[in-house]
Amino acid sequence: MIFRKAKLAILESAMEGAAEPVPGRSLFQDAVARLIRNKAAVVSVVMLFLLIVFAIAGPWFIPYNYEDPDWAAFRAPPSLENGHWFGTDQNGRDLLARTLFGTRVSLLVALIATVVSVVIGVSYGAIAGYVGGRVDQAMMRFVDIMYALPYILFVILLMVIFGRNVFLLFAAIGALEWLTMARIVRGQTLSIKQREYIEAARASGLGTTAIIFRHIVPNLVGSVVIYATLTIPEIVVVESFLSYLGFGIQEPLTSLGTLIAEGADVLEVLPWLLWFPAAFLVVLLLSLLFIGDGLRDAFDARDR
Amino acid sequence: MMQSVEEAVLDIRDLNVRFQTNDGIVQAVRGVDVQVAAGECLGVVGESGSGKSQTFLAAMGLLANNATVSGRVEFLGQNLLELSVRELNAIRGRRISMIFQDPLTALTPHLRIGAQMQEVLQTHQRMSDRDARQRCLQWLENVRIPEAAHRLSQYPHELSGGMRQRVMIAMAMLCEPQLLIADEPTTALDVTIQAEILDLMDQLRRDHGTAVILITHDMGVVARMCDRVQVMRHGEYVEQGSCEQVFYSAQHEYTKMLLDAVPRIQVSVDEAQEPMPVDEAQGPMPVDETQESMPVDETQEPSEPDASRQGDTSSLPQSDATALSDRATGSSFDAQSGSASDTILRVRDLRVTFPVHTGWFARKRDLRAVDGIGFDLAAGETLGIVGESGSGKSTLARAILQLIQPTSGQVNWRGQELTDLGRQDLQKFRQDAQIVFQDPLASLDPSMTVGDSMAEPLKVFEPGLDRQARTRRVAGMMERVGLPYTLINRYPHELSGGQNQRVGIARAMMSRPRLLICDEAVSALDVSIQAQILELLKDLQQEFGLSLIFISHDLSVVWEISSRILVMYLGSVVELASRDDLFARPQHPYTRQLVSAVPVPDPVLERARHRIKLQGELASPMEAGARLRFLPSRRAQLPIDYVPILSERFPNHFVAEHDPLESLTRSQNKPAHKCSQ
Repeated sequence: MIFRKAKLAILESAMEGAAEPVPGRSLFQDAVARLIRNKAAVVSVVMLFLLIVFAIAGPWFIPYNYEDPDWAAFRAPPSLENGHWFGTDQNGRDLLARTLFGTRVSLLVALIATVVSVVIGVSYGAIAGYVGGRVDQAMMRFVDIMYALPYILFVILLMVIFGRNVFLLFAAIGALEWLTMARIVRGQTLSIKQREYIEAARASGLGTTAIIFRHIVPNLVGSVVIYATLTIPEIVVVESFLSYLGFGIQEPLTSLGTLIAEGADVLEVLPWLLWFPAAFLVVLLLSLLFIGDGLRDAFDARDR
Repeated sequence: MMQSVEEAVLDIRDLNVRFQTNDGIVQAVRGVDVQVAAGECLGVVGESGSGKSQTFLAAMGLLANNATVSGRVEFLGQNLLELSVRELNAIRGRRISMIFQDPLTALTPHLRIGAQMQEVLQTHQRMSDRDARQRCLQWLENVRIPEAAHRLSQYPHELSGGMRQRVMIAMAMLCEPQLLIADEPTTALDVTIQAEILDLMDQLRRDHGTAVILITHDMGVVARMCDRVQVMRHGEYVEQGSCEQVFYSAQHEYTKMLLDAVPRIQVSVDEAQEPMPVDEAQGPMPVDETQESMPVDETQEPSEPDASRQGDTSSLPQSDATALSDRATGSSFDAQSGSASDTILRVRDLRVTFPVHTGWFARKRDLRAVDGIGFDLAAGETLGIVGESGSGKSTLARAILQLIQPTSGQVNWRGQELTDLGRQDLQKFRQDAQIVFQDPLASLDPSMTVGDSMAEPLKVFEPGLDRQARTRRVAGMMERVGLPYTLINRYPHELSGGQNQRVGIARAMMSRPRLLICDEAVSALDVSIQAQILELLKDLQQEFGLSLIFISHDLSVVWEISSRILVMYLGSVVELASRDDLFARPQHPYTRQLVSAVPVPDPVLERARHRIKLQGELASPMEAGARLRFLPSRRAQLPIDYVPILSERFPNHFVAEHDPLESLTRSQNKPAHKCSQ
């Protein structure tokens, strides 16, 4: 039979080259390769990277501190001579130092809140979607109720009960953002659940937990990564908004949102107090959005 | 019989198609010549990726943006490649039309059938609404759609697959084109519907002198339809010639391989061994003997090794008493193939129903996907399960494996009732019974390497193994199923369909099961790969003493591998017999229709065959009285959801009650036209 021959031929060729298994390229690696070809996304990654390095390392190279006033320069406009490149505020604090510090805080809020929302949202959504039935109904109705609560009210309540605390703010924002993540993940899980490899896993005796975390969650990576990158800018904006309202970061600590709020008050007399933090925020948001867009294109390639 | 250029409707010369992809340039079509004359049917055969579809998409100007085309495509003297999009649009749909594989996605879901059809006429011929409607109606009748006027106001999802494909053909024919390009027009359809669609296309070609290009992978379809055949591989034609030349004196190795790979049903009807009917009194007996000839193919070896295995089932374990008592309770039958000791799986009166919401205020109704099925499976045996889409084959497989909770009935695995097993015992059963799925890519986790996928059952069933031992076992199994070890770290999307299916089989075999259920395991594969996988399954079965349940809609594949065959219709068994019995003496009208509809890859035999056509289409399981389709004479007396009872007509040959075939056939079809020599 010719197929035996064909099979032997395959085997023989396999034996010859059998020395080293060829490493494979996973879909994730493919997506990253596609992302690298996306110019806007690559530029954004570089910008974001620079911004982060700047925010972390910058303060060490600046002679000024974010909270101590420079008694020689109150309300100084930006200038290279006196060393206050971004100028100073009404209290003589260096705006460059404050902006970098604010960027740090904003990024930290975004990071913590995103991690919280991803961890809660993915587990919650995947469990609801995979288990299904009544459990799914109950879990998703809870999400709906949470949605119905105005989050500002929720944050104010938390503030009143627990007092003002930066970490509480992080947690509160994360605890709100996971709702959307849970919904998206549940939807994805419902479609993955129908795939045959899940049935194959059940047929080979895997338990529910193993199926959820070994077979479903890894295949959610695409949508989770996309949504998370789009969540970060949202959280930065929410934090800015809360700080602007006075619920967020308090003096002398600062964040981009707080800085912008303060700058907006004195726009007519000290315009630089608004422009510099605003520029940082815009660059940060645009980079994140472009990266998110690039990731979406990279992961949604039709040849999956 | 090459056509001269003057006669040719379509004349393609030296066509090249290249695609610019991320992995470099892919040359899909390399210097291809095609000529088709009016009224001729050209078959283009090749496996997936051979460029057979791309050739004609290029000719129609329908390729994706990253393609470059060179060469000449002359349609009635015009070079299509040089025309503007507007000029092309005047030709496409009017003078050349195409039929695609999937009739569901080829119709716009939100437009009524009538609106879609009229659009074609109004674009191309500026017809008034009334004339257009008239023409549409006429064509729907031409393609033999019942209640045509009513269909015009229906949406695509309201029609069945076969009906939709007929609408597609009617739409393609509306402007009476000179050339019809049919790209795998029947691949997504069941065999009986395929037979009707092919007859219809043949009829239209003869009535209207349309040139037809039939792109397909199915040699049986080619044998039935085509005057000339071109065999394509890697973007080139490796062989071309008249149908007879290609089938009877193939020159190229690849063509021979393709023909060799097609499973051929060969049955020798030995009248001397005609067994005596078991019980004369049971049910209406069929009067006519099997006059629809299954072709006897002498070109192949007379018997497969496992064909003879079933020969010694002369014992008659089924007593009439049990059959009668089963009948009395209205439950299913009791069929045994071997002695009770080596029966490993015993299924009794298995039912699976799904609640279905039919409307906003309508009450929930039960969809009876599996409706009282029973059979036995012996160790080392292969049971084929055949049925058309919607007959509940896959549901049955999942219910046996306890992936779906059966509504009622028993599944007995080596003396243990599965339906009331605890988690621990179920785990043991899972080790013993595994499943291989239809879509090889979808059945593997895309985020895992194939090596990890194959190692997974070991983690569950043999948790004591360390990583190295697992890798060794995986490597051993890879070698066993014919996969190079170098692929172990690859991801599923990097492998071909055949390789992925080998991975799927290896994963299923990892736990050394005693039962392997193959759910359409080769249906998504090319014929040559299909033959390799079938052979692999047979090898594994011999080596490990596996029992196989092989589910397929493709009778010839089931014939190739099974020792016994069970025919399902709407969730219940209509016939169960050994393979040779079933094909030599099919009893139930449904089985006989199925058997007669399978295209045979042999032009002379294929065109001389009679086809049995039963009234009506395959009914939906939701439809009241659908199960009485083969018992119209007793429709008045029986309850509407009556399931016809199975009885043993010959030893080990079980048939459900039915009316005689003659009263069910629509009209005996004349033999199809003779081969043009």
